[in-house]
Amino acid sequence: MSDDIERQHEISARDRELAQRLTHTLDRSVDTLDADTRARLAALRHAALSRSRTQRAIAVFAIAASLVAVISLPWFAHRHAMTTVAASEDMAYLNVDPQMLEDMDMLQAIGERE
Amino acid sequence: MATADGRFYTPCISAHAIRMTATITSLTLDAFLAAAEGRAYRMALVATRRSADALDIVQDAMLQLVQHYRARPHSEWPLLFQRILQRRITDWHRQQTQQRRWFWQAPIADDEMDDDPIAQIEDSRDGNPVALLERAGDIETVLEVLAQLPLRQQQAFMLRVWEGLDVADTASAMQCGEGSVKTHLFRALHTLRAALLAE
Repeated sequence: MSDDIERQHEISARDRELAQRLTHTLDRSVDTLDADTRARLAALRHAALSRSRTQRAIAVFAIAASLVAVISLPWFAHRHAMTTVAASEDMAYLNVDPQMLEDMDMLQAIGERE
Repeated sequence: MATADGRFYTPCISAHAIRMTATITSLTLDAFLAAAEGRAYRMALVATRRSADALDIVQDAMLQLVQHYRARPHSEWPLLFQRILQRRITDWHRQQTQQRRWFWQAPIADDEMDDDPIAQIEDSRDGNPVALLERAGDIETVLEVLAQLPLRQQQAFMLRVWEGLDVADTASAMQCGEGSVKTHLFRALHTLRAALLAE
């Protein structure tokens, strides 16, 4: 029994002896737990520790994925914008009137003949 | 510690507490739980009387300690574990009381109830002390008598006497005042003595 209890006079001398015997008996009751219970307790402990490890791994992965997304999003956005500009320039070339191109070819051919 | 009859009793609880404090800094969480799980199971089993429920409670307590308090200093683990364990045991009792109420059964004996068990117990302090200590040494008898205690008395006895926590830590684990801890402990010892003498 702890000295603290004695100091605070929570337990009389007579009860102290009883409490001491009871704690000793409880200690023995833990020492005499059957093998099956001990095995189940050990399994529960391993499960608690491993489940926590898995959850931590998932959390770390989620944080890493978020960071990658946050960092790469502006780069993707910038790249997308550049592609759009390039595409619009191509489209601008295609927007030239084909009739005008044919006229230019015809004029060029006439010029060469002369 | 020497007793009146000259025999020596090992002061298990304080030695256990000192051992825990002295070596706790070098323990891993796995080793801490391995050392605490047997006592926690016994405590939960006395409170619930059902092995499956006791195992569930211990598992929950382990899981919560690992998930939320792994990073805390090792010296805080014993108290944190007891706090979680006692809360789970109290929750279990509340659920049982609710279920019993739902099915119109008599509620489980509780210290907060009006009937004071002390008033109902005859003061038998003058009983045979040798027989009393003999019964207190029998595991089955002790577990049965402890299981009959109201929950709060059980918790006060287990934490204060068996685990060797001080009044403040016991009050913190039981989520009550320090005065209540002393009252519950006094009642617990009184009831235990009477019950063991009546066995």
